[in-house]
Amino acid sequence: MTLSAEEKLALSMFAAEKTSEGVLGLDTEGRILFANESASRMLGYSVPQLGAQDIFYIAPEMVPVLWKELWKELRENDRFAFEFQLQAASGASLQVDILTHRLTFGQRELGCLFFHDIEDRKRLQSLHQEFVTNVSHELRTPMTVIREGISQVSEGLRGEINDSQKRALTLALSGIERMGRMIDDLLDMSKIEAGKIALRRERLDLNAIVRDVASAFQAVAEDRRMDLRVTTPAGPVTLYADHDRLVQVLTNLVGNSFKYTEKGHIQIEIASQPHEVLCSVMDTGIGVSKDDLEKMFVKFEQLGQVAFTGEKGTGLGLSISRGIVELHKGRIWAESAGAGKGSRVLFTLPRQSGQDVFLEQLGGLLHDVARRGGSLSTVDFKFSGNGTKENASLSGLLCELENMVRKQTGRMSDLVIRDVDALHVGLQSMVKKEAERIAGQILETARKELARKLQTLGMTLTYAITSFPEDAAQESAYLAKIFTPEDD
Amino acid sequence: MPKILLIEDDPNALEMLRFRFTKAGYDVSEALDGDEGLLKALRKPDLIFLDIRLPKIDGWELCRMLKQEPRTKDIPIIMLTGCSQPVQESYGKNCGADGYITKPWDPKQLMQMTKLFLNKRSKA
Repeated sequence: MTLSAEEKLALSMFAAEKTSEGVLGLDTEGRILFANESASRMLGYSVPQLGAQDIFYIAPEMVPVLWKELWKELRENDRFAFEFQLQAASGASLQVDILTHRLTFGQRELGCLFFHDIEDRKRLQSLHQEFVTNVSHELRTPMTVIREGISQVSEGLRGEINDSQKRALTLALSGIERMGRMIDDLLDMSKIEAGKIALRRERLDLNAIVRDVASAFQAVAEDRRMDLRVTTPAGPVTLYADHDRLVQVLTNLVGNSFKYTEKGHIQIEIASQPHEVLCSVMDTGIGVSKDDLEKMFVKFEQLGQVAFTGEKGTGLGLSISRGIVELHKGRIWAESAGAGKGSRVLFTLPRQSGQDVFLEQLGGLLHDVARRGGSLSTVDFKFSGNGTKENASLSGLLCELENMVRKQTGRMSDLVIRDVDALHVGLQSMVKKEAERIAGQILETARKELARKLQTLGMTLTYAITSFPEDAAQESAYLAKIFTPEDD
Repeated sequence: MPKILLIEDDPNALEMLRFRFTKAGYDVSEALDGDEGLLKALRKPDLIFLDIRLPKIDGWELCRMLKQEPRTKDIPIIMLTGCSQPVQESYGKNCGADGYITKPWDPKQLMQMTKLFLNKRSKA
């Protein structure tokens, strides 16, 4: 049976009316031309009431600039998805996922907007996260007593024990240690899934981190009579990343290689490319079949392999590593020539300028501030003079300056990014005058304490302040203004 | 004999710690909540082990108070806690804690840290 054109139209209309998604048809001015029953139910307005309104009425946060941006995006890609807040008739705000499509009738452009409530999903997510955190914490208390009790007996503190008893206690202890690692991993995983890991990105040298991780494994390598090689480019590989989290990723990858390699070598390699850094850990171990390469990154997937070290993992290591790399906007994947032929896990980290990293992080902070109607100032301290190319004495100066800034601003400076020759600081809820005062004090201290070094290096220290909303009241305009020198 | 104050609300964990430290020859005193911990800290032990989730005054707050109080500010404090996240570790240090040990602790690490802080203190 086929549908006539007329029936098809009626059916489409019926589907649009009855679907559980909210549907709105809009013109480029934002006027609501069509609204379905779900939209009316979720927002608490009747369909005709909605028809007499525009999008700005039910979405007070949809400021004209944003509306323009949305259309720009729609004209480029025909669709745009985002999370947003709508306002219901009761005044309550409604957290929704929105998907917008563009359609054209000759010259006329229309926007078709689908939305659904994500309150429930959000609440569940945060409940889940809270649950995992609490469970982890509650598990640790009894585990502490078990571990300490077993240790005391095993150490002979509670009286002499024989070898067989000692063996049993040693096994019990290793079980407890594994449980401890599992709790840590579960906690990390749940944080990554809930998007609650906040990276503490700083300027660092990946070479140095790789060397540190490698030397931590040196004893294991000797013990297993295996060769741990490190190949890095000459000179530092600087990027902006979270030091502890990178160590976690590398430790996980190298640890995996040791687990699944019986003999041969393990090689850590860094290749520096213009836009990103490629880091890989390669081994001559048991390898992975092609079908399993992606599975390795799935939670709790262990591919049924037995580690040569006898260790049992949690099945979360690679998922966590993937989460961490992706938070850094990098990619991670595995390669292998097949079972028995060793494997290689590679990940990339983007190379960004200090200014870009700063602006990216400031963007989030600024958005909150703008929404609350607060203020924010950024202070850009800059060393200038003969040798502003990156060198050890300059980075030493920057470290000292950073300490002064942290000391002076205390907990207000959530955002401090060290650049090649500058220090970018974001100060929350601070108006220009206040920022001027604090920056002035820091400058005075720095010029005094660093006087000799500055003179030797032939450098001067200056700063520039940009304040929101005093210097620019629009978020995008403000961000654009920060690193643009004033013409005066 | 060096004096150690244990502030921990789980009586079982407390008993374990007391046994280990007594056996190692330390003079141990204990407190089950923040208030009691504050009072006993004023008796000037040489080292304090401080749990974070505590009744009455929590560990963060108590640590900050002890580090501001002239009579107790020089006593080293080691936070002993179920939270293992790096952010919390740095928060622990921001409130003035001298060391940080995660539960379940490694007995070796526990004793090494104890010796380290007591040695530093006897030299000072």
